[in-house]
Amino acid sequence: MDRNEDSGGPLADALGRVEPNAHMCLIYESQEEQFAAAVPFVRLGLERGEQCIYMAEENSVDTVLAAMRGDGFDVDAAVRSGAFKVTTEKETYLKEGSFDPDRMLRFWREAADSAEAAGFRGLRATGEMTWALQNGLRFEGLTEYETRLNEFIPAHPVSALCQYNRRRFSPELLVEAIRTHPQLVFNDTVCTNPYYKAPEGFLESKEPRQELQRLLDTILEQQRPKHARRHDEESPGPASDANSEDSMLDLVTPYVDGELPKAVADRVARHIKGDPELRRLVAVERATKRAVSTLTSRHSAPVHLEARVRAAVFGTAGSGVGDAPAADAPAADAPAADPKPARPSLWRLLSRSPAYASAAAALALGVALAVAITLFSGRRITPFVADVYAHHTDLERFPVRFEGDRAAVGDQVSKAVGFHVPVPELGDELALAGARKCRLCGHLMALIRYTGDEGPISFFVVPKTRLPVRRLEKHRLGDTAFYAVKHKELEIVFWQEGDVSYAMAGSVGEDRLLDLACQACGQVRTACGRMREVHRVAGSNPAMLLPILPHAAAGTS
Amino acid sequence: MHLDLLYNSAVQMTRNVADAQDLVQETFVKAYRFFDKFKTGTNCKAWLFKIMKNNFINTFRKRSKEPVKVDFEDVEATLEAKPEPEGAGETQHAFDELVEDDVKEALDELPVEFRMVTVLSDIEGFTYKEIAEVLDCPIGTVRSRLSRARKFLQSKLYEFARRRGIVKPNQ
Repeated sequence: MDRNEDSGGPLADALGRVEPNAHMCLIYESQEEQFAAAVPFVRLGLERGEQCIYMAEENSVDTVLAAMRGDGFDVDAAVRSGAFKVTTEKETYLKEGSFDPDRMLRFWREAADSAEAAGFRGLRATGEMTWALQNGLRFEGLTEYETRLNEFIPAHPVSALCQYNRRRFSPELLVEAIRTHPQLVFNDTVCTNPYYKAPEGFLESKEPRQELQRLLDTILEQQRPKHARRHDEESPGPASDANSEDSMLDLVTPYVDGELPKAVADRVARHIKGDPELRRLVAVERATKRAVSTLTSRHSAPVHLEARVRAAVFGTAGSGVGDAPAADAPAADAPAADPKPARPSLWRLLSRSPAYASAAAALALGVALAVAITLFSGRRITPFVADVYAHHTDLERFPVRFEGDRAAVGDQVSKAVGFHVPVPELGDELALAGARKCRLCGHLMALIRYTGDEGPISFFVVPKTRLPVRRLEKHRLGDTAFYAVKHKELEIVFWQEGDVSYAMAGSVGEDRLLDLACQACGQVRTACGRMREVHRVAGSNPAMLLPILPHAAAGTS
Repeated sequence: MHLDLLYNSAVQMTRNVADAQDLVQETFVKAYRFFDKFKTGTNCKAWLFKIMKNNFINTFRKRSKEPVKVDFEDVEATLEAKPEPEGAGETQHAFDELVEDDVKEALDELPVEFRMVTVLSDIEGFTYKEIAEVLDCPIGTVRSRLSRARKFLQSKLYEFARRRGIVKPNQ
């Protein structure tokens, strides 16, 4: 059973129920376990208006701050206001290069006083105790210090959580740590520590008689009825007695969300039958969840957002794939599975089209498209596809006429065809070869050709047409529908904006071609949107101010 | 469509349409740049949300107004102090009758961390594990935040229901 799943949340709640002036010992094995207790411990203090100090040693100050931020509260504001401070052992335990219990207790006394003087409700401190392993500190020094804290803390508005890393401290030291803390946070549970030795007598004597008495006291304590001990001891939730009211209350949320293991959920269900209060709580929780989940006024992405995203992605990411600094990488810890990173596909990111889930699906799609083309035999789409194919492959018959940079090519071809032709940029892999005027099924159109290692790519702009595409396989991305067709080895993607049709052709695989189509479509559209603003906004990115069909602009509001 | 999902959550996070659009755009730019870090076969949706959450924390949160601070202790105390004369069915019924604006208002009043888990769980239908992945925190934290968020929402919705006369004030 996953411990976190069942007791991580209750741990924070359990810590919240611990009475003030607690002196707790956290025994942990991983950073995750450590922060699962230390972070809510601090957070609770801040929520209660206490001043909190975190003394880091194993973790850097930044790591601690990041963990606190991860818990969701405004750490930086707390730091600014003085409510929270992350410091290191060098400023506290080992201030003058060595450890001195007297000096440390003085430090606590002063810190508690100044917290109160500053208007805080108390002082809450947690420390990573691994500093004690640094310089051959004497065993007794640490034990003595922890024992004296047991006298100090109850008399002052102070709570403390001492963090002991089980992987680094010796068992002997850990046994001492257990004996010197009244409460223990271990295994995601807050427990009263039956092996705690009260300060009186601890330092002077390890005499068997006292030890016997202590053990007997412990046993007596364990015999007290559970309700009398509730404030001291927290059950670890589902792993413990399911009749405990506290643990049942903790389970209401995951029960309603269907997040409990079946056995535990069954136990809750059984319990609900005999407990009207629990039944009521579950019903209210369900009603709350339902109220939120049935919110119908979802915010849908505005139509221009998708074009904006495409423009932004292809505007900035064309060359930088994989070489970006890893520091802010969202999944920097992910193992680099492939030495040669897969080509990113915005198409995949933006759409959830199951057709692209696997190669098998893509293959099936290819078959479907082949069937679709057969069905269209004799209709207009087939000659259109054949013309696209001829213009793409027959470079001798259809050479480019206009060459140069994008602006020059755009100008020349626009003049030749008599309408504005957008010349999109298709990334670093594809260079602009040139453009020409041509006719497809009698329609005057512009062809822009690109070349790259992956082969040539042709981009067609055909004004005032509507392609008979409605029975072809459609891939919707936002409010744009892309139609894919395969003819021999050539893949073609069509789309329509207003009364202008566009086609992108190449033998680069369907995903890649859809990506290129997206890219071109985004740039054309962004340009449309910008055309309307161009009079108002001077100095926009000139790359975005593509020459554009005036009637296309009207069709893409 | 991931774009719509992300945008909806972005609006919930930023509570501002313009910021939400910037956030979504930045998210996709980052996702595209770091696509090689995406482990094929893992949850693409969760990965995108995670990038968005990081982005939000790193840039937008600094810019946007401080979230409304809610003292959960007060909320919990209010809840506990409240006598509960109505039966389960009644409260359930009462919440169902609330208008959408009430629910939205209650949701908007949640501090962003709590709103985020609520949106991801109850609107987007993420599991605790997915939310933990997105928020980069232990599953236990997701659970406790969600539990606290629901308690807060309950008290808010109850208040609205009472104000609208759907449930009678306690004697």
